[in-house]
Amino acid sequence: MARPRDVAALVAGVLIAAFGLLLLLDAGGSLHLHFAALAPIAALIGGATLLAAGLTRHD
Amino acid sequence: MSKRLTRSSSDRVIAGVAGGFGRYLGIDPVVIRLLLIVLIFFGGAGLIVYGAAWLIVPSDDHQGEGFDGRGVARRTGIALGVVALTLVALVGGFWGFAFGGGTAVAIAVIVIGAALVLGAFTGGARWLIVPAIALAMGAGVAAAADLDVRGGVGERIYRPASAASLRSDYKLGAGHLLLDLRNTNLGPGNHRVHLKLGVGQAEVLVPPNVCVSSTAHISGGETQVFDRTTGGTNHDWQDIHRAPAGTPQLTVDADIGFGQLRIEPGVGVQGVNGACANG
Repeated sequence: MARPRDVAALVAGVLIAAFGLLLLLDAGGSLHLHFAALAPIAALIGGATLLAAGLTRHD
Repeated sequence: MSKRLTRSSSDRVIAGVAGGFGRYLGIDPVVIRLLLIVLIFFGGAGLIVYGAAWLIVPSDDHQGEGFDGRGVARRTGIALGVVALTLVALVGGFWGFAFGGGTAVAIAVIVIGAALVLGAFTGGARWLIVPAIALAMGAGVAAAADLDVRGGVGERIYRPASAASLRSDYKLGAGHLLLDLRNTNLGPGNHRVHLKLGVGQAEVLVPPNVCVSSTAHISGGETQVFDRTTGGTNHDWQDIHRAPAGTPQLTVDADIGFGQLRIEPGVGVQGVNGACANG
């Protein structure tokens, strides 16, 4: 399997798509997103993306 | 040779600003990135600092590219483009979800996430990360607020003449919803009114000698009922009273996304719910 050229984009893409799935479930009424969950989710996406970028940087 | 501050072309997430500062100051660029993220929550200062540094500080792979010239114009164009796209995505995600397009916006977020995954293998997709997060978070805020602004936009003023013309439901998507009951002859009994507002202000002006009870759920905003004010996110308000015999009772139940519920007394009632037995 090909190695990703940009791990940060890969991590961000997976997490954003997963969040989109949560939004889809919310729109369909299967679950309800709360404000209390938004900040941790935003921090998770941003933090994981930065971490991936930092760990794969080219020194 | 003196050390020069440059943006890093090898250690970068967006434009190498944090990488450059980290190298210049001799500290881990992750610390700089975390500081910039924290500063974003202080009036967007992190974005301003980052944008200014992107414009002013030259890249280490173009040592001659400084504060002037085509490099600045190019970076300005790219920065403005990404900022504009991010704002459009943020606003589009929020209002798209609020206007009932939740499913379409959610699918768009999933598709963009999948595009980022594909772009991770082909390269050149990193610029899409910030606008994609903005789109997702804009929609997320509207979803968390359970926002529905399909009830129309603008100002709605209702002045029913009597209890018979008082509706049980009043709905507005975004704007100012005013229910003026100061000249309404309510008569004895309990009169229930439900207000649903997406974004804006719902205001009820009550006549004198009416006992008012109120309940509300506000995703983000404030409740101001007579002389009491409270607010916050996801806050529930309950102010229940019992009217003495022969005194009209008005029960207001409000469901507001973002905004304010304001219940004001009519003439002769000086800021208190004076007509209630226990008010």
